[in-house]
Amino acid sequence: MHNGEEEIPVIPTHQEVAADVMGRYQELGRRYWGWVTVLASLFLLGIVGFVIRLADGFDDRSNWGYHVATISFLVSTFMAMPIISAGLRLAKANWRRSFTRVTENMAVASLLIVLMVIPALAALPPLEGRMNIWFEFPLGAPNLWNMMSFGTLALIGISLLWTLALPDLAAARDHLPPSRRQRIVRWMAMGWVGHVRQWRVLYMGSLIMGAFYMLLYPLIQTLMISDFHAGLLPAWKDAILPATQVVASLQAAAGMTLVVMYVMRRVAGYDRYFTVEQFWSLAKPLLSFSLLWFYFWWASFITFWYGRQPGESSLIQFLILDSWRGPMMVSFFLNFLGPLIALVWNPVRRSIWGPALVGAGIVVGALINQIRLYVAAFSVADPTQHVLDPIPAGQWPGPPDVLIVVGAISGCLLLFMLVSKLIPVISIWEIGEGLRLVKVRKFYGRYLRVIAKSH
Amino acid sequence: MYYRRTLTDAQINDELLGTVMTTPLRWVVIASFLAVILMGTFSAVGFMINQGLGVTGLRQPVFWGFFITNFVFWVGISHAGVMISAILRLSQAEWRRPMVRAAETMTVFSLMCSLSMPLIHAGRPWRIFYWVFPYDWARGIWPDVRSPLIWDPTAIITYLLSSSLFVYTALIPDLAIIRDRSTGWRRPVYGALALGWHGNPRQWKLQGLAGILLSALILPVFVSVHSIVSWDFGVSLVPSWHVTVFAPYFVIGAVHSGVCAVVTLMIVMRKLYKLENFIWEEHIDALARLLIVVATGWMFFFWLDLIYALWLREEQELTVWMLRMFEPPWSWMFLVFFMCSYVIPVPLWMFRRVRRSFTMMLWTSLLVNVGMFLERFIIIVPALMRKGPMTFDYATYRFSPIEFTVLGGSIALVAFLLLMFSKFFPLIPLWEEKEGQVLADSVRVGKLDVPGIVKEH
Repeated sequence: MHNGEEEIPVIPTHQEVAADVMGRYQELGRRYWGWVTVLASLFLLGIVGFVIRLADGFDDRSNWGYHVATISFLVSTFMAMPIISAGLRLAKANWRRSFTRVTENMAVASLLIVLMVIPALAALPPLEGRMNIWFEFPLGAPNLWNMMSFGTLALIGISLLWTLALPDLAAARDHLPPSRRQRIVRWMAMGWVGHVRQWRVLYMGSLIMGAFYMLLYPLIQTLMISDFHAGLLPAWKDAILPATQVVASLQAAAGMTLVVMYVMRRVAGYDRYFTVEQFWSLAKPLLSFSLLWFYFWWASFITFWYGRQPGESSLIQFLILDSWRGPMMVSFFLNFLGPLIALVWNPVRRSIWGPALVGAGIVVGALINQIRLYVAAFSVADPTQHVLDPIPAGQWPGPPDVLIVVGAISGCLLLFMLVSKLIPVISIWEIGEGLRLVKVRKFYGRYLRVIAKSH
Repeated sequence: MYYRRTLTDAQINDELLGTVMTTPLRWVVIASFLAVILMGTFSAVGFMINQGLGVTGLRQPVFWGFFITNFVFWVGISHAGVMISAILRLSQAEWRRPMVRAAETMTVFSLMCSLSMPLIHAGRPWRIFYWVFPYDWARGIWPDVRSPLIWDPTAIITYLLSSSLFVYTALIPDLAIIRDRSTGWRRPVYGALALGWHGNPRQWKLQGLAGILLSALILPVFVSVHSIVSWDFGVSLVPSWHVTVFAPYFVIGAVHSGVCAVVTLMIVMRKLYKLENFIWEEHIDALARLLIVVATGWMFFFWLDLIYALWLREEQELTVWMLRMFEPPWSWMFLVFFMCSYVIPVPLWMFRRVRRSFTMMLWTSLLVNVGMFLERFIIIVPALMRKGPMTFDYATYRFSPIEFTVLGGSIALVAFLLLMFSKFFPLIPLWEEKEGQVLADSVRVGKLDVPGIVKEH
């Protein structure tokens, strides 16, 4: 889809889009299986790293820092991507349609994340004597409530994906030749025929589930940052941390979306779906999230730095100015300064490579930031102190940690690849809906699009 | 948006310039009433300056009371302007058009009102002059630039100047229309203000560019203003104030109360100036949906403030929160604030019938602002009442009639200034309405014509 130019812009029909997407969906070429093989191998290496850590036991908490940081990174990227889809759908942004399925498909990564949370909870010290949000009513806390929350979010995410995929699953059911894959898709399509009532249920269901997902996600971040980070650091009373993590997640999710779109364009040939419009439009909220990232970090820093309280000052030394200064500076550049410098320039923002490059930097910066937060917390020997003393040194990753990080990310991408062969990775019905709401007309000598917004 | 009624340019000019070109009787009545309240307020302030701050409820250690609460409240209201005008302009939300100027103007007047509060609070306002212009360098007394109390006026005055520029820039095309319709002394005055506007393509291009640039540049100022106000509290060590979440908590609370104030203003304007052709149910419906998101975000920050206040189990912190939540009359105020700010309005806004009812939206928006005023009061005063670690330092606070009069006077001041503005300038931008009609179109989908907008990109 193109902007207004002197010639009349050509808008494809729904049938053309459906035929193209179905054609790509049906073939399972060598390239696809090559990528699956590579990702599966890396995932298996990740399991090896995890088993090594498991063999060491849970007595030394510092061994599990990178594992928890990886969980947080995955929660901040893969688990946050459905929010991009739900939020843009609520805002009725027409440019979202070609990539919403990509972000929704990432919800399957939550299955792996939920499994990874179990050993992370085992590595936590008891609640007694240290700060926590469970107050006087531990009752299964934190394990039970964390598992319930993560599990619920995973369930809602997958339900949202499945609901929104029903029309395309029905299309796939009708297009695929009889096979085991076709039987699975037929079962998943749940008898969808496109009746008016079915569409109403789909719209209402996606709205409600999307809203619940967006409401539950900040809770997940609150639990994660409280139990696995702030609760392990003496005197760390930082109320803005969960909100900072939510903003950082939205930024990382948008960055990951841009990276995935870019890779799909270059490698899988989806260039007619992921055009300049998608990259340019997503770059604007990405810039906003980058500014908010700095704002939330600064709100925390200025309060502690100004207050000069001993406990808070030692933690600033630990997390920002001394032990973890390097990762802090790298993350500061990749998550704030770099995106700000790059995205204020129109030629960079209005391109495909610009936002994608910035997005890649943001994703790397997000990983480094999560490592800084969680590895640092897990390296503190005694969380029951009043003041952090002595200040521990930074902690480099060991070989098992590297394997866990790489393996977990590969595992999530592997799940995405596998599910994209059941659920088409482009939302045919949403694009078709969008095409119905667009027409071209002449406007003061130029051909421009008219985009309708139904209420 | 649904443009159900297509008006000609002449109709738009006539309807929106009605109060500018003529003076209805109801305008005179309301202005007179507000002027009487203002005179009463000035008298109360004069009495206080004459007698001293002792006539107020301020006592050791509660030295920040109603005046500072009012200051924070009005800075909060001012955030509506940038939210509605700048953010919705940048996101190309068409439904913003009838409310942008009213919101921006309310921002300017709210900021003026908020700046007057520290002046009154100083007790001897002329001493502020020495603080701004330290004339006697020999004394070696300079404003402490490391204090948030210096950042405050810097940020607010920057916001005031940029908002004023924002209002004026968008007003220029309408000033030209008024110039062309005016006679007598008005013509050269409006002519000077219109800066030679004739509506040629270059001028319109620059107008559009100025709007986008100002919108983008004012956003950091918008965020920084209430953040800096929050740091008046946050960087101190008063229990329950030294909290990192205050900056975004205050900003989003400001947007919450500010947008509700815009809702109130739009509904009152519609009734007062008979603007049914321009302010529709769809506008307040859109505002209400925005408010649901903003209010829910605000609730998240409030919840974080509460949870992390109890995090360290510090005795003084717990004492302050116990006072707020469980000791009357503060517990009653807390309950009213919580109910009014979120529990009552937000569930109501979930219903389409409520969102599209002008009466319901008027009452819920007023309720929110009552709640948000109480929120600031509950943040400030109880913390100071329990500031010291020793119980013999504990104090109480009872606001005086003077402070209550100043609160009422501040509302009257903003309303009066808005009324004055509407006498000389149109509160709904004529050119924005005309532009919206030009860009409006529809797309045939099945049997329906779905309203649409011409988009360049």
